[in-house]
Amino acid sequence: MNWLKRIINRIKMEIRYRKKLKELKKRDPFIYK
Amino acid sequence: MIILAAGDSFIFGSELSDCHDGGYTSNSQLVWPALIAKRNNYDYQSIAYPGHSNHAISREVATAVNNQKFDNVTVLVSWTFTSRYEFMFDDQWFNINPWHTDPKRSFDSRGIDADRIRDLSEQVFRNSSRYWELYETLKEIVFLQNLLNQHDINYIFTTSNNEYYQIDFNPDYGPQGSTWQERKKQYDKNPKTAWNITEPLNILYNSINWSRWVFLPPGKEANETQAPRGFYQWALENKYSIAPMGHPLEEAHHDASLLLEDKFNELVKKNNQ
Repeated sequence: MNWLKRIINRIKMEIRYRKKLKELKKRDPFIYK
Repeated sequence: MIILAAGDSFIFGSELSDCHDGGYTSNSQLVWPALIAKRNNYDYQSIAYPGHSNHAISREVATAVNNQKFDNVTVLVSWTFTSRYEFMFDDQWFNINPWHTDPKRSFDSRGIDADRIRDLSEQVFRNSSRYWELYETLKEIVFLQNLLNQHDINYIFTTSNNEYYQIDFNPDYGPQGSTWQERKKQYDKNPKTAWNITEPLNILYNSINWSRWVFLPPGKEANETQAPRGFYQWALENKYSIAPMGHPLEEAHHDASLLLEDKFNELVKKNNQ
């Protein structure tokens, strides 16, 4: 069952990362060339 | 008297009418510190650059004051967003921000392999925390403040966004709703608790000489920032005209220059007494 926990953890981390990026981009919305 | 201005695109003047290519090759004379300098007959020089991180800002100021040996200078530093970082790739400095993680977005990588920048950005933003962001920025502020003091160089600090001096506003830093003072009280009671994580930030925060800072006034409405504001926050909350890429336009700079002028002059003159 460890492999299942690992996959779940990876998915959780990925969701957390994407949410964090979205928040950071909202806070600093400036895109440079 | 020379005003040496450092900061990001707000101080560079991106998207203002005298930055004809969108703001990369020549800095504007219509930004608020340049307007104050003009009205008070100070010479004005800018080393601000779009996209600069707080690491880059302090490095540029340290280099400029060392190389140019100004006789009578006041350094104006406008600190920027905490989620920008500067790294050296081989022998070239490069500033990353969360947008560099996007695999499809092209950008000027200045001769560095763009995939290296994307890979590093992804690793940084996957693994960094709000705490580290704040720690990195506060460290840069204290470093530059102490360096300028050591060399007896007059300075004025301000910010485009008050996210780091208003630490209470960060819900992911400590339990939600608790204030900085409450957390400090808890830590003082029992330093062995998880509160001790605040200690390095406390030390840095309390090392900053806030009397050398200029701010725009706090908001009065419930949905506005209830604390002294940085230029960007103040302009957004007061609904000034914003250019397509998001920078406040001339009117905001003009009004900010009037609001900040007295305190700015007071801090400039302190040096001459």
